Amino acid sequence: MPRAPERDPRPEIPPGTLDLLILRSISREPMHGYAIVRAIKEQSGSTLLVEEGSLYPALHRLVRLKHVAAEWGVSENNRKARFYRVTPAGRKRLAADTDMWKRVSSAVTAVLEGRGLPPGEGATAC
Amino acid sequence: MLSLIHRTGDAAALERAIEEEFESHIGECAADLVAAGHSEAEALALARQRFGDFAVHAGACRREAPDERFPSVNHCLRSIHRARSSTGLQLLAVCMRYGLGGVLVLGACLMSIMSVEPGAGLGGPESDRLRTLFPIAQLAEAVIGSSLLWAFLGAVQAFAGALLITQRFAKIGAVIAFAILLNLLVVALAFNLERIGAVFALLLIADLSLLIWDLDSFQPLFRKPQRVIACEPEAGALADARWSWIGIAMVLATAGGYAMQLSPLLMLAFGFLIAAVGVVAFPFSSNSTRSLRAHARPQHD
Repeated sequence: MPRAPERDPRPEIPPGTLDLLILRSISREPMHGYAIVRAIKEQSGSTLLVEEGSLYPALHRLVRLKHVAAEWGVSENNRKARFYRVTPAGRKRLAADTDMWKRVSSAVTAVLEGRGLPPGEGATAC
Repeated sequence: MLSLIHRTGDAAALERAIEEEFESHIGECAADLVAAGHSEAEALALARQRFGDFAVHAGACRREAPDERFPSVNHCLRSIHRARSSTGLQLLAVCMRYGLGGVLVLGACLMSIMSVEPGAGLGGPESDRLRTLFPIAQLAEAVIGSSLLWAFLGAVQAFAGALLITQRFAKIGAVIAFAILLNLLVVALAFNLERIGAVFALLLIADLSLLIWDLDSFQPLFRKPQRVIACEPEAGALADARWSWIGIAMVLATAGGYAMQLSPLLMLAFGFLIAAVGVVAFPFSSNSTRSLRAHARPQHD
């Protein structure tokens, strides 16, 4: 019996959304890197898997931009780990990026489903 | 703590922090795998495999933390970025480019006048005056006498000055002017010409200020590509094309005056009159005021 073509269950995270996912994950409570990966995986029903090669550079970038602060602590497994928390500037960015993402995703969905959005709900054309 | 490491620029500490954090991540992952039924050795090997290339990830983290090395250079570049958003300093930079460029072009005109007569440096009236500056007179006579070298020096000086005045190409003009002025300063110091040396030193300081103003553009010359801090395009007063048009008008006016054999001082006065009209008229034009106000708003990282 021929095998059905395999479908990759884990699509790539859309460009530019990793920062948003990280900020959202640590907005509730400070988390270390591994916990962030786990949280995003669980919250997305195992659809989104953040790779370590993307996560840590993104965390360093967010720290440099002062959207995230980091400090050493102890993990639930009693291991020394660096915990990240959102700064006030990071919360502002999270709110702005979340709003933008909702507008873009609803607009893309509307286009894909062939239904129009009411005027003014999406971005203007020019 | 990470921000503290970034501030202090302790590269070794950052390196250690990255390593510790990665080991912590692998340890956490291995603990989950052990809980899922793997042996400790298996779990650790699997966790390391899943983590991927340690060195590549560490390199990516280092690239995202440009403050880890040369923090003073980064601090300096960011301070220049902030200064460049000041309208007053922008106008000062524009005026300094006009001023320095004007001096270089005028100097080139004077050089040209000194060599109008073939061999004027060897026995002409200018030569007599130069001899009073002994011992540089011999050098000056030799350079003026070799008309090609003298013409070349004058042409390069006029070119650098014209580039500075155009604003659009002021960066390359400042680089060429730096070489010329440093050379002149060394000659003046070598022959104990203190007053002329002081003038060249002041001009060199002005030129250095312009180079520092545009320091971010020169980053690729002294930094690895991944460490270059993003350059911001010229904005506000500097982005206004009218400064370039005024500069071109100044260069043309000076060239016209030279062709008509006007007095160099008259050429200079005419050129600076054009610049003065521009400097006074610019802030009162509606477009400029709007662009300056827009640029003066706080910039977010």
